[in-house]
Amino acid sequence: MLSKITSFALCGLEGVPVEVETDVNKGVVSYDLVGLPSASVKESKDRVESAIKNSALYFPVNKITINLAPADIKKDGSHFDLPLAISILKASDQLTADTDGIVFLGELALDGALRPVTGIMPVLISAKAKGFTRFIVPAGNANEASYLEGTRVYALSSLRDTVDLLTGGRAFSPVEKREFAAVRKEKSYSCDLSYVRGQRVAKRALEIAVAGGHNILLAGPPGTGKTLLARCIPTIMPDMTFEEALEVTKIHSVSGELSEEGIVYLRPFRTPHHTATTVSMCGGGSGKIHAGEISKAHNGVLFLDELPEYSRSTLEALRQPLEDKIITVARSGGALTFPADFILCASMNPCPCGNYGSAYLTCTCTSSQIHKYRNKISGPLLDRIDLQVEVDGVKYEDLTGESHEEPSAAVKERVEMARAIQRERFKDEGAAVKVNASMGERQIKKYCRLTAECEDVLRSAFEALHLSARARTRIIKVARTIADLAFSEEILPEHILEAASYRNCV
Amino acid sequence: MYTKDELTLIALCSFEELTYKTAFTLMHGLESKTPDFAKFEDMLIKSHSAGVYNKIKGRFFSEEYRARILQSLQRRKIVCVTYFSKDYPEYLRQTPFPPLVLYCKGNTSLLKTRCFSVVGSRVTTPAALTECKKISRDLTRHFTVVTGMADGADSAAIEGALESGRVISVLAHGFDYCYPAYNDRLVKTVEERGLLITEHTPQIAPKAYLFPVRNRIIAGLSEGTLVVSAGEKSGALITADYAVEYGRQLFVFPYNIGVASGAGCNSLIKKGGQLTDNILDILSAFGLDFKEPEKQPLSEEEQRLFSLIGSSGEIFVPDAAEKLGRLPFQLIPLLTSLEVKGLIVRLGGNRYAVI
Repeated sequence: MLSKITSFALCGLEGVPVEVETDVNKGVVSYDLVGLPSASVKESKDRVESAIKNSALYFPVNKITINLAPADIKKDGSHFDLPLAISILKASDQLTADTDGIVFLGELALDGALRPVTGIMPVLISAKAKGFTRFIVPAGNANEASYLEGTRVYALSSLRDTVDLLTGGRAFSPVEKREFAAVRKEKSYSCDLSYVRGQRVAKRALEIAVAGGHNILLAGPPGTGKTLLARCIPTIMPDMTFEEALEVTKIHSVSGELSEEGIVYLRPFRTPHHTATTVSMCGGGSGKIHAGEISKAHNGVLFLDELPEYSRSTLEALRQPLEDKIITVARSGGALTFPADFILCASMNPCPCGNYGSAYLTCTCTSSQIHKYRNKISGPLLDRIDLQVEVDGVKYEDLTGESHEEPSAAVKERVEMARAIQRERFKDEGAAVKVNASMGERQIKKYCRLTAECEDVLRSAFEALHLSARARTRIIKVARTIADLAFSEEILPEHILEAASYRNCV
Repeated sequence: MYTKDELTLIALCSFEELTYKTAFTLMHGLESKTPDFAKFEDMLIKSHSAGVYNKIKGRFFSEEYRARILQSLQRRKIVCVTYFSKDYPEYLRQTPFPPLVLYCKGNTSLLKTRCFSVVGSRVTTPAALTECKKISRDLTRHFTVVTGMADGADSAAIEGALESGRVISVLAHGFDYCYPAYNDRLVKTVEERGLLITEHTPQIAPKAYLFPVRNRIIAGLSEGTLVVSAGEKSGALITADYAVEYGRQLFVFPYNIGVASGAGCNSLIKKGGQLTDNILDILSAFGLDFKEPEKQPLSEEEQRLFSLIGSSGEIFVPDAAEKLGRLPFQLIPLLTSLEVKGLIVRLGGNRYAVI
């Protein structure tokens, strides 16, 4: 007999429908699985056989042929166990229920229990777009499947339950829908700007960076709170919308990094260690192409601590995604595109020993060591970091004294207002330009008119501060954001001057 | 081109086997206009060896060897100013150990001008660097600035003086090398607009012991020396010692207590160096006058902030904001504006200082 069951394969972040066709016929006892299955799918045979037997069902001793169609896409992932088992049961006449239009996803344990799998969210989104509305997923993925409107998802805990559901032997209720906004409200970040003492200048720079979507570099001696400041960046970013959260959840779901909640409700903050390879940073890998750290930081923050310690090639690979906000990973097996729209926050010491520029601590580095250290970061990369700010050395009194620090929520309010101004400004510019940082030459000409007085200030700043020609666009973009924060239609000289102060400190 | 004596001297200096002392003695023997190399035979054999003597002798009288040396110098666009030349700087000639040949690249006429050296340590505070640049620029109205090629104070002095082209940089190695390597662009600019000199033939590589020896040329060329910064064991102190030994005037920047890169400066002041905090201190010692450029007008707020910084010399942005009852970021435009006007300098760690 022949049976057909629907499941999905993942191509990057896109789900592709896969027909699991099983033919159980007379002949020499065999089990053939065709249609480009990967190793983890091939291994499913033993799991499926044990699971069926241990669910008080019968595994046919016949010639079994299973085809995964379309045959030209590579099928990867353990979630094919359940559709395979169901299709064998159907083909061997043990199950006669109607399974048309139901998408099966799940990994089987030997005792027939269903284990959670990765990539449920992207499959659900793709399947819904293709008109599928009914799903059977493992109970462990219930949360992940509960956010999408217009779907009917059953989260089951075993193969037996699945059979019972299909035959109507027992009643099951579909997964209850959850509201993203409600879940979001309960959650908060573990950091807050009010935990950072002092550092007023750096905090102001963070506010500007987030308001305009600018990348930022924090330079300063060791132990002055650069990492803590960076961790506070997501806390002052506007809350994620449901659409943004879905984009992030897709990536994290495929990577198997989703938490219990089943959705990413807080902006991601990724801190890859400086030993990270280019592939781990940008995505890739042999066989299945994985999303890199920059994609996992999508809609959030990518924090590179000790920037000069990263390998040169890894840093240079960031240049293009920083411009395009997406990364296309091309391999011989095909190319995949992942989103990578993040704020880059980098930190570094002023020199290898960390004391350079300090008046009272002696720097023990030789000048060639310092040159070498700073030369590790290329000019083109620095050009993409609009704000470069120095972090204060912390005095002991600063740590012990009482001082009132502004909480993240207050800063966030101002950021949201500045973002609203930018939304209004760029509403006709399309999806590529949403914040000041992503303005191109054309938009700068259009939205950043400088008065004659501003031009004068900018010119004299260039001469006096020895700025490079590349710094000009950066200063104008940052000045635009500062003007937005001050609700000023025009860019004023003071905005230019403040922007000029966040210049090369390395 | 070169006189016969000068050619002899250039040939003499091209022997790497000879020490400075031997070459110096030989040179005085040459002044008799009839080079009698043979009479130094005993001395050469005694201080070196018969092998060295024979080798040198062979080349010394070979016309072909001299032509080859001259050609290699010409190919590198090096001009030699020898001890016998009328272009040789008088101040340097008066020192006890003048270089016999100055290998030059650039504008050699600078050697005939009045010179003043500006030296300091590689590790120098930003405030001192900015002041050093400014003083070097102002000095070029009366002097040619002489310095080395290191990072920090030397580079700042060069940058200040480059605009007028009146700058001499004295190297401690031959022209085939560039030290420090990352300064190669600065070396080229000085060659184009100012003058590079060294007492070494092109193939001499930089060695640590050559730098203190080089410092005698910097001090020797100059009528006065300004020490911008010096740690307790800085090479700038060696230059200062030479300047005092040669009877030249010594000017020193003062430093705050505890600033490591200024400890040597303060001890020079204790020993009698002239405390210097502006160009007038230097020029008045030479009886020269100087007209200050007109000051740019400051706004009321800038003036308030500037006097606040002036009262303590250095401020930390959040502290200043507290004192003026403003938020730190409101001060930043004012600070940058003062910086643009050249009145203050950024120190790092969000501190600013007056200059």
